Amino acid sequence: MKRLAYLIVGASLIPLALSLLVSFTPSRFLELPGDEWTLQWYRQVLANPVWTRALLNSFVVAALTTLISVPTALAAAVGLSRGGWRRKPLWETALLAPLALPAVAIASGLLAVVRATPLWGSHLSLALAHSVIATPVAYLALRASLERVNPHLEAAARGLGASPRQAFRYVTLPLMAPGLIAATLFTVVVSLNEVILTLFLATRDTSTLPGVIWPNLRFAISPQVAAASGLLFLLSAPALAGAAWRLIGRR
Amino acid sequence: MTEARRYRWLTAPAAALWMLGVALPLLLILRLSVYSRGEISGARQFETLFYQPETWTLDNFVQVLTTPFYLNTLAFTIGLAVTSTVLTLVLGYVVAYAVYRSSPAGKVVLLVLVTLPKFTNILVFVYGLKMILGPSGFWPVVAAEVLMLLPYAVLTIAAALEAVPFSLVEAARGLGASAAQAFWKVTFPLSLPGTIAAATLAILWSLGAFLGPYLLGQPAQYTISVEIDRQMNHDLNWALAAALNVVLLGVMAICGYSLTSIRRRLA
Repeated sequence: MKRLAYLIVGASLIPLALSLLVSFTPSRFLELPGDEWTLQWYRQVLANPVWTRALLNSFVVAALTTLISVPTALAAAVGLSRGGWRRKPLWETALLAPLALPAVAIASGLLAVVRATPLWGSHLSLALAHSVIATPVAYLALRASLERVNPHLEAAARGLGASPRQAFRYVTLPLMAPGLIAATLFTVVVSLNEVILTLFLATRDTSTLPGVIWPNLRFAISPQVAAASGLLFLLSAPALAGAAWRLIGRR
Repeated sequence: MTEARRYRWLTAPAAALWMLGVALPLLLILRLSVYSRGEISGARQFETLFYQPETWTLDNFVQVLTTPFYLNTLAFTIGLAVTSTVLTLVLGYVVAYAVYRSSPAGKVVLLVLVTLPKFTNILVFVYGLKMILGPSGFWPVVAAEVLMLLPYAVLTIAAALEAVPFSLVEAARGLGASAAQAFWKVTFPLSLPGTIAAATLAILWSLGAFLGPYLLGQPAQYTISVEIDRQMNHDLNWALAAALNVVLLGVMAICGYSLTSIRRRLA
């Protein structure tokens, strides 16, 4: 049974490994590199303004998405857990609903909304759209982290004369640091990797990396696309390492 | 209570984002679905490019529910979702069971490996799949869907299994049950609600399948979502795209509701 499980998991990682390996090929075609490995495709991607602009857009949009999503999710986590809500499960389900809705439905609705505003074609509109998906993800990380903080500590701070705001700022918030880091990493990963919202809402000037990889993936396939995908993986890797470290570090 | 009330204001930004990013788009889709189709040429082309303002009609729904092409697409979407969900559940259960029976270190290794693809771009993933599977078709699409869903299924089912005390299985074995009997009479029924939760997630997400069918499928494997993208971004028939969205959301609501009520009855 265990062997079968490792077989399934191993098989699910093959596509990832292959696409990364191909980005180092010396060949002009999609072939695995033999004895010779090269970074020429990465150099080409980084020298091409189409790709570098997409890379820059990815950074800008991911940063804006984080600035919107993490504070929003933090406030929502505190507000929902302490607001004394009678129908808390209902509100929580509503908050998490974007995770269950099909991305194409959200994207086409948002396209109609954004086209009617001056935000159309701005990085901010893309970041707001990414935030719709990223906020519930950040909320899940922050809710778990808030639940782990001992409420007596904040009560003690209040008893010693701290205002509610001070008690939260100097006691609870520092204790939530791991959750805040996780929420930030998840948000960045969601934004960097979001394909469908980007396809629907990005214009030529605001498109992030997945939006530029997309047409290449369907039509002209060259190892350049593999290298661009590899860069995207490299950007997400710190988040992955962080998550793994957290999982292992908790033991 | 007054202090609790004050905390409620903290949910205001999330509520605002929700109204703007979830409620408003869904309401707009509902309204768009009952507009008539816009004129793509002629004098009024630019005011009515995506739909005819101030019209009310059910034509789009009639078109979706009577044209064989859309009915076939809908049937294919549902078939693909069911196939992917069943395969995901079987494979996910095997992996989740291995997580359940592993040592603490083994659990971490397996869970990290399972979630690894989720931290990479789906395009990187599909790109690799394309290289292995070669020509597009039905099974490459199913493979893509299953691989996208697998991490969530494993995490959900593993969480359900972790809640089953192994001492119950040992008790069953001690009372003379074989390993298989103990699994089917004790472990499996207790993990069933979690497994149905995983099934709900899997079917909802695979009903919305877009990237797999679009990138790894022939036109015969195009789903409702692919058709929505085509109507929205290429044919610029936003009204029809919205009607397709409403039909898709309706199918999802039915599936989600029935699976949730089954799970409630079991739990």
